[in-house]
Amino acid sequence: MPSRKTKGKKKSVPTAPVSKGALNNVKNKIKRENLLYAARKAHNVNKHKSRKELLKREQADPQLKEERLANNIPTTIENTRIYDETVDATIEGEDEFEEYFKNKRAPKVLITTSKFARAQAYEFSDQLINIIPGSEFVKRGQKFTMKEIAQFCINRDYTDLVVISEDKKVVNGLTFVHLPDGPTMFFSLTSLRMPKQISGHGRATSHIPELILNSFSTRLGMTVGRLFQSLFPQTPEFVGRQVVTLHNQRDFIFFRRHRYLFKETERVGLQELGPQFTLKLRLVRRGIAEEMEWEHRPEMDKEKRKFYL
Amino acid sequence: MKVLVAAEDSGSLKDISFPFGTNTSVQQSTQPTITTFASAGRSSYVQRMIIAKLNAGKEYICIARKGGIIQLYDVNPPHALFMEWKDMTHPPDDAFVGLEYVEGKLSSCTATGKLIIRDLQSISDSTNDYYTLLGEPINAFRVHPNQPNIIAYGGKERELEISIIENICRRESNSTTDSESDQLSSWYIAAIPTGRTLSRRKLWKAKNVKNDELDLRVPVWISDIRFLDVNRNSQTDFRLAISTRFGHVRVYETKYSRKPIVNVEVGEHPLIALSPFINDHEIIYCDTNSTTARFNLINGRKGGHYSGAAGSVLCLDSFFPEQERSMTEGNEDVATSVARVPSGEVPLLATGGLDRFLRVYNLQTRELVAKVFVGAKLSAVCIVDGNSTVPPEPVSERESDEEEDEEAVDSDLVKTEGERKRGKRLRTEEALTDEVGSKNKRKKRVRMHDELASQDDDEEDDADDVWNLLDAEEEEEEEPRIKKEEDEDRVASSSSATQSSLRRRKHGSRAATSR
Repeated sequence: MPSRKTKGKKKSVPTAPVSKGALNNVKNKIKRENLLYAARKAHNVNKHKSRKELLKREQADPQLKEERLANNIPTTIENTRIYDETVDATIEGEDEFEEYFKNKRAPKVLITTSKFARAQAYEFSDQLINIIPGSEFVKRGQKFTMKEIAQFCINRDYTDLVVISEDKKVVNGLTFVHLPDGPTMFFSLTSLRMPKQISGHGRATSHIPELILNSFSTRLGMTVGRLFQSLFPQTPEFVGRQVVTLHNQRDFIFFRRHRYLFKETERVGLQELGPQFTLKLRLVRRGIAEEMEWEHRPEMDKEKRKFYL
Repeated sequence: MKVLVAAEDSGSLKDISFPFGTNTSVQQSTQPTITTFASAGRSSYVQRMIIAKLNAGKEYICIARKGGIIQLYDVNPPHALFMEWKDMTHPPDDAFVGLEYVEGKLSSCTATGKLIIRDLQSISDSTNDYYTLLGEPINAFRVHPNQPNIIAYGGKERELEISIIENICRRESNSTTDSESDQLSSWYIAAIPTGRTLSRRKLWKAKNVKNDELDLRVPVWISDIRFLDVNRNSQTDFRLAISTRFGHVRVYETKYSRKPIVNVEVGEHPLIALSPFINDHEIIYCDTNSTTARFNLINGRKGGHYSGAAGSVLCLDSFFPEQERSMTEGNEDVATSVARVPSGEVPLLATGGLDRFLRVYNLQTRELVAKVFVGAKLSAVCIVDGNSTVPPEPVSERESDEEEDEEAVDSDLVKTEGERKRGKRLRTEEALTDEVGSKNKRKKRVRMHDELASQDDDEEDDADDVWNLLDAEEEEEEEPRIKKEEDEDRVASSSSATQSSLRRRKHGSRAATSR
């Protein structure tokens, strides 16, 4: 007999074949333990047996498996999401990104940091320069405000301004200013992993990457997606086999960068290039930090099945 | 009810009709019918929209678009274009900051200060537009709601000014006897010898408030102006409320002082617009941080938020039923001369802004009446019909009529339920104000007294005025204590009674006759 903790019998009792009441009626503790053990074992054996049978049946008739998978949809937070009428709403008229999408204006991005930035911010800016093709870094002085810098950028035909926020030697935020008419979006940045920290990471090349934007579905989400899209040139260099992914799940935006490899005809291999980080939208303002368009408020986290992107 | 909104993203207008209780965020709720028309692209989106009632009794949507275009559209579907004037701004990227329709005169003002007044009574006449230059920059512009020759304007580093257009005159007597000419306004634009340039005379100019506690000059940036207490019918005595981009709400009494009699910083964010409330001692404002709230101009305190907006609210339109309006103004002649009064029983406030939602609130209880996803940022909003049901469309087919009847029944149910709730809430609010009011009143008085004592000698009269108002307010709050089962109308009438009693004190003989 295997040694079992006495605690176990109090907590969970198997459903079959011995019922809870029947076990409680057994006065002898050792007997009771044995019965419980037997019941659990029988349950497990049954489970494995039925699974094997199911497998056999499904191998014989693959349609059965399809049916089972089609019918058996587990409820998740995503598919029980609270109804949002703005999901998949058509983009009416034009927005601030029209220049990029209609007139194919090539992006020209300036990257800078918050004031008094430390090494961590500069290391991260190196990564961003690497990710966004054709972007430039300018060291932030103490003289100018962000609005002034944005104006200087407009004068020099930049299309976007990215500001890296750093606090206590930790990169904690990213601000994107689309130029010349906005919008301005602030994201908080967490879970940053530099390429060095990713085991088996590859080395990125200077090719223009492909871009994957996942599930930016609401009207606000579309604006966010369009902002990210407008940072990258519209002509990816497929030779480089590099992909930048921005995956939105439950309002968290996961950034990943990979190189794909065709090892065989069926499957594709992935090599992560890094860095990894997670963004969460905090604030959208119209123009260059003018009127507030959307703000993440603490009460928005109350309902965990309500998503805004 | 029916609301017209202007979509900024597509430069179009939308006609939205829905019953009370509509909420597009709830899948099972009744959905609104939205008709889009007059699309002109983002480059010429609608900056200002009003509804003008012409002589023939027909109502038109009057819009000022970016790029200097002013258009008149029919209010009723299919919304045919009635009139269009181009190149009303110079340079073309100039923005309209005001569009007003008073007594048949359509005034449009641009940020560079070009004021164009057009006489819509002679709409076919090609030379019916006259202009004057107010000087740069202008951020807010209003015409007096009863006197089309009185204008108020202000802007960035530009103090509030009131001017009179001397070419717009009032007809002395009704010499014409035709029934058509009865409909004509009593105001006309006099013949101008010098081409089409109007002559303007400055009546009054505000003075900046005192320096702040660090002895620094307080910057000026007026964002909106509203005339209060509009039927004084005088050319020297005005009461105005303004909002500033530095978060201030100010009230001026032009007769007493060039400085504001009330100056309160309601928040740290810039204020965008003001909208009138049922009575003249409260006003509604919105700021760049999604706040829309009521503000009491007498005790300088917030009267509660119209909550729900996710983004900044850019446009407000408040509406109150006809009888309430006439009661507050105390003069029936004036009430009929107001540009337009939509039908409806409940006072309403429509807001629209950057979150792409149209929200309609009950003006009195601040309860959300309807919420509609429009799909584009809203730059202007106008309530056309304030009834709780969907307005009947002029359709010839019988089938569609029957459908509408069914809808109407549904919405009636919604309305009665809503009203019950509102009544309940109102009662509780009254009870609360009873408790809190008496405590705060003493403090308030002391504070007001200190403030007033510090002002100049010639403002003594003004101080008395504020005291009168405070007394009047006390009267108002005592009433519910006696009768707690009052409904909304009763409250409104009591507040209007306060107004008229106040007016009686101020301008003895004239207001007394009005009651």
